[in-house]
Amino acid sequence: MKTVKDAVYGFVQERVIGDSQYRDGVQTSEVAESLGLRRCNVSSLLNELVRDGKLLKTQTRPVLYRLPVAQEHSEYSCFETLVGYNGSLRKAVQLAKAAILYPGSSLSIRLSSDRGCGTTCFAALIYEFAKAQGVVKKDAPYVKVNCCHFIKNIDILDEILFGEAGNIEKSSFARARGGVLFVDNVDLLNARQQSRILSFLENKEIISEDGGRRLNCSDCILVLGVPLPAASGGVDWKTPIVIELPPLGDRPLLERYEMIHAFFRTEAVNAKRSIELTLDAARALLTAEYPHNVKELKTEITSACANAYVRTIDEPARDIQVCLSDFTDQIRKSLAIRRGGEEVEELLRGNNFLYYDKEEGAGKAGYANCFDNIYSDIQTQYKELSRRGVNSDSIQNVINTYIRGLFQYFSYDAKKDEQANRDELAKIVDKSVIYAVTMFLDGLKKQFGREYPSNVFYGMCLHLNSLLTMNYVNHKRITDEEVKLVIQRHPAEYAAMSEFAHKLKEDLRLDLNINEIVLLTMFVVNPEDQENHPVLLYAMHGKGIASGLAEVTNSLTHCSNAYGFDLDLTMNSDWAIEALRSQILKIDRGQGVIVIYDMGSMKTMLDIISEEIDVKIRGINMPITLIGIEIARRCSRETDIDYVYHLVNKDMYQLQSTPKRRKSVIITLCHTSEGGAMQLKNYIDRYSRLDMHTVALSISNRDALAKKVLELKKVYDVHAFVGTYDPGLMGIPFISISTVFENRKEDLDRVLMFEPMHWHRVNYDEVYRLLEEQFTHAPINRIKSVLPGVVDEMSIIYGLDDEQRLGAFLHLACLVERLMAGGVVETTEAAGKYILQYPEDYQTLIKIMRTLEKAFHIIINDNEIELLLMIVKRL
Amino acid sequence: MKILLVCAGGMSTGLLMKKMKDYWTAQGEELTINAVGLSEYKDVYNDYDIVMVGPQVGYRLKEIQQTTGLPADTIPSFDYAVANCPNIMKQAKKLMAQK
Repeated sequence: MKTVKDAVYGFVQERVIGDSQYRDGVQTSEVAESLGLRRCNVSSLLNELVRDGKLLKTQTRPVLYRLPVAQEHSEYSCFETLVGYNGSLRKAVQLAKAAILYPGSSLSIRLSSDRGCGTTCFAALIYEFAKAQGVVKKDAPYVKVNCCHFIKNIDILDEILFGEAGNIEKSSFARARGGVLFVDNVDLLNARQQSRILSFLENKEIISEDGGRRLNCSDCILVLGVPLPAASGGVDWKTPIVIELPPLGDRPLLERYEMIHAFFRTEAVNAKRSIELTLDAARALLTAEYPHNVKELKTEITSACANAYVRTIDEPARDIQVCLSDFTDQIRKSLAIRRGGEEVEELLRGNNFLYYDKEEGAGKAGYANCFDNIYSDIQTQYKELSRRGVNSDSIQNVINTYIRGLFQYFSYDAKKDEQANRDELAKIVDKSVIYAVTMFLDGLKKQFGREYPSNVFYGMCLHLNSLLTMNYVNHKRITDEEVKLVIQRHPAEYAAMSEFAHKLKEDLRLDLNINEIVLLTMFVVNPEDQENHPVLLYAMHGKGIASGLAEVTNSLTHCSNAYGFDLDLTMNSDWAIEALRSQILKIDRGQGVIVIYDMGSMKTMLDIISEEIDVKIRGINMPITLIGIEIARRCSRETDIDYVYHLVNKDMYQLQSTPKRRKSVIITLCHTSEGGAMQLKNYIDRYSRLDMHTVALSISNRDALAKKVLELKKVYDVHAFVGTYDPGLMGIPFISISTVFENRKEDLDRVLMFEPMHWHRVNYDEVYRLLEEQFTHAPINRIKSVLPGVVDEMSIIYGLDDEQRLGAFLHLACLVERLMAGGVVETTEAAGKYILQYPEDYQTLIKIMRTLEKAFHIIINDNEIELLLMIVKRL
Repeated sequence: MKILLVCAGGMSTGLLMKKMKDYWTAQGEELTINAVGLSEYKDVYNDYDIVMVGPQVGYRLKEIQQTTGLPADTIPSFDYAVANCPNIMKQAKKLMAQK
């Protein structure tokens, strides 16, 4: 942080060096007034600076403060406004100073860099420096020619560079005499033009085309901008000084961070509003790659600020809030593809958001800003439109279009499809709705660490829009039962949605009743309809290896479900676990994460993490780094290549066949009755040849279950849960009971080992569709949630085969429908005979049926039970 | 074609019955159909050409065949559960051919 003392010192420096009026020094009162500080404070600070030896004090009245003589010309320079002047640009700055201060006359300079690295800015600073050093006069010319602007008609540059109609007196060189001439992108010139510049470099003369006239321009400092690829392969520009500006990617992260600060400060000043930047957005900016370097970073920031500005355009007192969604997809996606690692987190630690005061940055930004007026442009347009009576929403539309137009010039990359779709959407749906939904889903994504597919986004937008425009709210679309069910099952989502509804009421005056809120909640839960898949994570040691692999995988599969976790070798393990955990949480789509890792240490970390979080994690060890290390070590000792080759091969073989130390156990689970889990255990014990222990647990209390499982884990490797429901504990895999019974007993082991089976599976969706079509009384949703469990339980106990299961399923469904419709079975052929014959089974069935009775509020009489008894006992 | 559907209580086959009626009509075929439970089929089978049995009571097929003396078969569970009428019609025609 800059202290007040630094500010005072800086101010004196600026005045004394920058303004000849203050050559002799600055008065205390001037400092105090300009900085808005109290005079006595300034006076004591100035005296402190004198004691520090940083300033000199005159003995005259009024007292003047000035810089010690030696300092004036060496240490301070305009280059200090550059981010990195003391870091990655240190050498560049030194070279530039050397070239300008070269005794006799300044040397020509070649700036070579990738596009967008700041050549224009640097050249301007060279000119400022030359002025400050008195090498050129204060009013010296600065002539700038960017060949890029003439790319369609390079010949026209003949006139501009070398004078109209061959009149060399009017050439750029002549105009820049006594000053600086900056020719950017010289590689675009044709051979003749290039040779004329080359000859100037040799003898500092401009020669007219016919060779008749010569003009000495030795007092013109020539700065050439040459993009890097051309600099290596093209013409050899024989300048005495070559300055290379590093690409953004090669510069330290801290400098990028400072640049982001500087750019946002500039925006804050231009917009005359303070800016808040969310941490996620900052993280993304720090992590993203910028093919067009600093220029792209700057454009991104300006564009995002403008987007954010539009949102609060009619509330001048509010700060501009820039969040992740204001940036282009490329930036936003960077968070998902790469991760910044420790450094980024280190920089951002302790902040909740970054804040740029509209006053603080004033006068500081030394960067050429081609969008200086963007905010006033937007403001003007806005006023004009509202004067004409256009409502504010339409205005925002217009202005957004306007901004897009403004930035088209800078859209290096064609905008992604999604953006285009959103534009389409914006034609139908109110902007404010889109914004509200975007913000809401972003928040939800963070809260639940879940990805929401775009159809959720579109669905919500369209739904809300229809509510807004159609104006019907009381239309009942779901039953009270369903309302209850949704709220009970998804309290967190419902809470979030209620909050959102509250916001909608405030922002859009949309009043939603509980039914509507529940309906909206179903958008964001509905796990049955949402196809979720596991994802892949590479976790490797070293920089960029994992993310590189992920990138290759994604670009070949186009699935964008592979992610990378780069584990820096210097990272301490606590932090690494933390980072890996958050990465896993971030990428998990609800179906778990398969991790390919390279060293055993990663396995330990994954084990720790999987005990802590509720995400299924499966590790696959690919010890490529270890093998590499082994080979490298051996290579350094041995001379015989085949010896190394065979030794390593042998080692690898051993590595792969390491026997398992602990025995595996399978845990069978059942919702209600102990019997079910026990039956399942017996079934597995009887038909499985895997020689694994099986333990039957039937605790419906999750915590108690977790405790038991933890105890088992101390002794065994828990291979899997098999049962009627997935407890989702400690990332232990789950095998559904229906999978077990849908396959033949002979295939049991393959099922237990997760081998893919080609059983003919009933598509229950179609069954439900049929039921929905035919039923008038029984609610299909409840049948969906209750019935499979009941049938599963019956299957376990009575070992029903596929045919019977489906039959029983339909039988029960129809039973429910009939009872709800008021129909009763009055008699059976056995007339109570079987009930007396099989009293235990009768009791069991009554117990199982209780679930149905409760769920549907029906009473299942003995005749029905007897029918079931006949089915399950095959009587 | 006269078909008797048999299941435990005549309920789930009742579901199928409606679907079959529609399909047979759409195909331009005549159909007399009834769905009954295990307790009733003995009283009514005389009026039908064939018997089709729900999968949950498939274990009684033999008994049904013997009692009625009619061509009878179990409907495959998948066709049964989703009321796949085209398949069921094929099956029914096959049974008719046995008569």
